[in-house]
Amino acid sequence: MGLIKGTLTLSKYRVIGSLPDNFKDFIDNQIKLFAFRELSIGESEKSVGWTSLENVLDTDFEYANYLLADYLIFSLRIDRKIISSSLLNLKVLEAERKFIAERGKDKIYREERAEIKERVYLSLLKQTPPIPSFYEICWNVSQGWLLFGSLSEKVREDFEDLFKRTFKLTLQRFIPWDTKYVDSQMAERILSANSSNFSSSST
Amino acid sequence: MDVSNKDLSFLGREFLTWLWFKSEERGGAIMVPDVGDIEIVFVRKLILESGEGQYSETVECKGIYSDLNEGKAALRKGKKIKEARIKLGIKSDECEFTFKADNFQFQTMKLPATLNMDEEEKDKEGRILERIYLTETAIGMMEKLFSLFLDKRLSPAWNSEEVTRIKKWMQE
Repeated sequence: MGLIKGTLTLSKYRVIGSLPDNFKDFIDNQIKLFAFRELSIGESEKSVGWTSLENVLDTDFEYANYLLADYLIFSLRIDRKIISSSLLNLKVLEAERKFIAERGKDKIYREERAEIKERVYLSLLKQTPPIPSFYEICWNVSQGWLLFGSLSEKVREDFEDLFKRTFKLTLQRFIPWDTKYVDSQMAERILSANSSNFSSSST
Repeated sequence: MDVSNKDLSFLGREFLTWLWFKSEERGGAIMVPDVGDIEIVFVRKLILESGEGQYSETVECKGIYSDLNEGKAALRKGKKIKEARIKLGIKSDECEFTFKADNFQFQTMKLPATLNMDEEEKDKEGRILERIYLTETAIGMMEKLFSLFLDKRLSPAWNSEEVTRIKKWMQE
């Protein structure tokens, strides 16, 4: 997002729900519980967790270093293993040829083909190093809003899911015309609006 | 008719069209109640679209010295602004960002320079707080401008007065 330096790209959220009275302890426990863990060398495609904002390797959050005045600032780290489809296709083809040679038949059944593909995929996953990415978060607890440093749909879904599991709160994407957050009269007026026509052919 | 799931993203695109019109009406200055004059300038990049999904048509105007005339031509043909690069000046602070109308999002926001480098090292927390404040101010101003737009947009005078003025401006 760029809270420390550089440009910022951000989506805004409403934070729905309330934290317990001892919310500082609760947040401290939960953020540590869902802190980022390295992907074990294995078959996981993705690992998601929180890290500190200033030091992305810090997942201990000592002295509640995510607290800054009225804000909680930290980062989301997502490590993803990406296997290229061309590499996967090549390795599957090799494995199929080997399978045929070993069996002495020239036909592979559909189930066998699916099994080979799955086996090759898992084997490639084990050998592939994960690619890390980081997204900043700035949460104003008292005012119930939050800024998140990505516009990507996939990343936002991962973030919303982990936030809910961590803090037991729901995130609602902030759109100023969202009729759930205006009075009923205003909502009715917004919902009755239709697209205007500015084109020069209209009168 | 069930309107609870109605797609209202056209309001975001009309907001951007209105904002461009408002900014050119007084040479970049827009009067915001309780704040005073702020500066809004559409710079370098504009993406317009008409239609939906596979039937959508997009026009992109880009360039450091672009006066975005192509954008006005596309508006006259019925396209709406989906994305724009905006320079926003509030008092002495100036920032620039790409605004995505459909979801009210901000991309590559450039904030005004804050503390100098020596001070930054000494006071990292102060610098982050200042950057949060500047970001909040920019987003808050866009929300305020949207609310001004929405008041006009939902008033009976929208079609009879504002749309007529916007169309006249598009011909300029």
